[in-house]
Amino acid sequence: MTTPRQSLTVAVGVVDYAACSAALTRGRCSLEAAFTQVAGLEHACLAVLAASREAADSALFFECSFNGSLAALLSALFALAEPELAAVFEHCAEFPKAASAPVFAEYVSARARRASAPVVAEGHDVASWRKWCTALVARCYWPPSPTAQDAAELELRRSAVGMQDWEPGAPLLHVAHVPQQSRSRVKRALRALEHESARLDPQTRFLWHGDRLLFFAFPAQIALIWSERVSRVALAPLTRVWAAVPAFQGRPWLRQARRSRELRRFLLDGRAPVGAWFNASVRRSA
Amino acid sequence: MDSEDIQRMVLQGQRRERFARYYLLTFGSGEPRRALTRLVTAVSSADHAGGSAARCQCALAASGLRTLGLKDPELAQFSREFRQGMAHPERALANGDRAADSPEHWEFGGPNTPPVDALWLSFSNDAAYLDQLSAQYERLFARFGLSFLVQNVALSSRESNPAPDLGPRRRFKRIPYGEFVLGERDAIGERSRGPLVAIKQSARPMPAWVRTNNAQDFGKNGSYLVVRKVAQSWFMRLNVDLRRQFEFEQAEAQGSAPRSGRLRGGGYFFLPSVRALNYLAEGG
Repeated sequence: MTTPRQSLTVAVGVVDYAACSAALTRGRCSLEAAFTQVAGLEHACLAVLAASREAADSALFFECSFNGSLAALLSALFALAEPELAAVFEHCAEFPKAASAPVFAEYVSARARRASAPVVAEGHDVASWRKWCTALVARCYWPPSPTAQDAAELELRRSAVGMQDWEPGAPLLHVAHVPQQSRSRVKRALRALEHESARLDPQTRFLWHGDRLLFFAFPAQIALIWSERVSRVALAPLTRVWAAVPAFQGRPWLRQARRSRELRRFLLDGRAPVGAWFNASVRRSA
Repeated sequence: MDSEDIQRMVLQGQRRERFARYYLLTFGSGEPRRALTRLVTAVSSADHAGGSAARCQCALAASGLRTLGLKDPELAQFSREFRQGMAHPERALANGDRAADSPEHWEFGGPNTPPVDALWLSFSNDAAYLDQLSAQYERLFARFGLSFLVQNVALSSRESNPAPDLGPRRRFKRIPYGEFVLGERDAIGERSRGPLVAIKQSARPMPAWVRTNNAQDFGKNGSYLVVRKVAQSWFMRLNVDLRRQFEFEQAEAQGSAPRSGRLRGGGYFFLPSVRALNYLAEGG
């Protein structure tokens, strides 16, 4: 399968988390059926992120990778799943009351965000000295003091994604909260990620939304196997990105295997459940 | 390593014994603690001298631990897969237990069968002696109100003998003990600690720092036991990380040829150390 030419990443604030989440749960089957019928769509993912003690606002996350025109894709999607999309998006901030296909396409396009991604084969036209400087600065860090995770909250998160653990192709959506004082260092690490080959899947991306750093991917394997592989092949670049997150305990003085295991734990325990998704490269079981 | 404290099958398996009898116990409204008090002395540890006619082991399910007095905060420290149990929908999805193999059709351990709170395993080379011993245990179970389901097993195949494969003994590196014994260092040098259960000297709730310093480490010298019965064969696996070992194998096998024979039942059990068993028998 060739890499899709375009991707759309949207993260908008949600006014009523409970209603939005319920609407997404009710409309999940219809939305996923609509995703399968849209021509040119390779991946799609729709998730509602709950508020937490680190992030006061809820958010709706929508990502899709496709070939063709964005306007045509959004119009086709709205035509296929208008009631479900309207029911979900009406709880988002500044969504117009009377939504039509052009209005929906305009709303989503206006809120499209740029996501950071690992370098692709074509490479970037960046001077070598700039790449070296970015990578060197990104490596200089002292890990923050680890914070104890609330066991009950951890259990809830694990339960929320438990059934998706065993679906190949299910998107992996990770949410990390970065302290305000560490944002510049994380941004440097993301720039370093763009300048080097991180050996991650082409559809792997990072996205900022307020204090949240979102990481999403569409692994072809189940999450447990994919995370184990990623924690080995991309240990250094991912550690640099998440080093400032208090919940991440990958201390630089630990041996590589331990750091790899800590990265895998952090990746799996920080996932958010996905409401509706589509992955053209994987056939879903009934 | 404190081999006196580790149950025998964790380190050595039952290579010499040819006959086994498994009792799947349901505590119900019985008195499991009193029964355990009488059974704990029969549990064979890893340094059990050879020549004994029979060996016995005791494994507990999450429901059994709860009945024996462990509270929710203490149970929350155990592996999530163990607490859910093999019949949970998530575990069934992970293990590929669908259609005729789904938990609804199981003979034990499923949602339509009595819960299995404990597993009492006895092994012997002498079938007659095993029968005699089993009659004693059955009288004891009945005396304390424990119902049971008996399974007779011939230990002729490797799958039914849950000895950990330590690898060739001559020149190559063995599997680290931490891969199947809790509290020991595993392949990457990490040592697990816990679950911790408070040793109560008072009826008042104890502060967190006391619980940490004055606690029974249930994880030390224990292990998890995965039990599945397929048709006439019993498969048992020992591994401290239930998710890593067993479910990976099963998840990968979902797309391949199905196992031979219908799945009859299964469960996740915890093999406590001998000290932990004594702790449970004494009621904390």
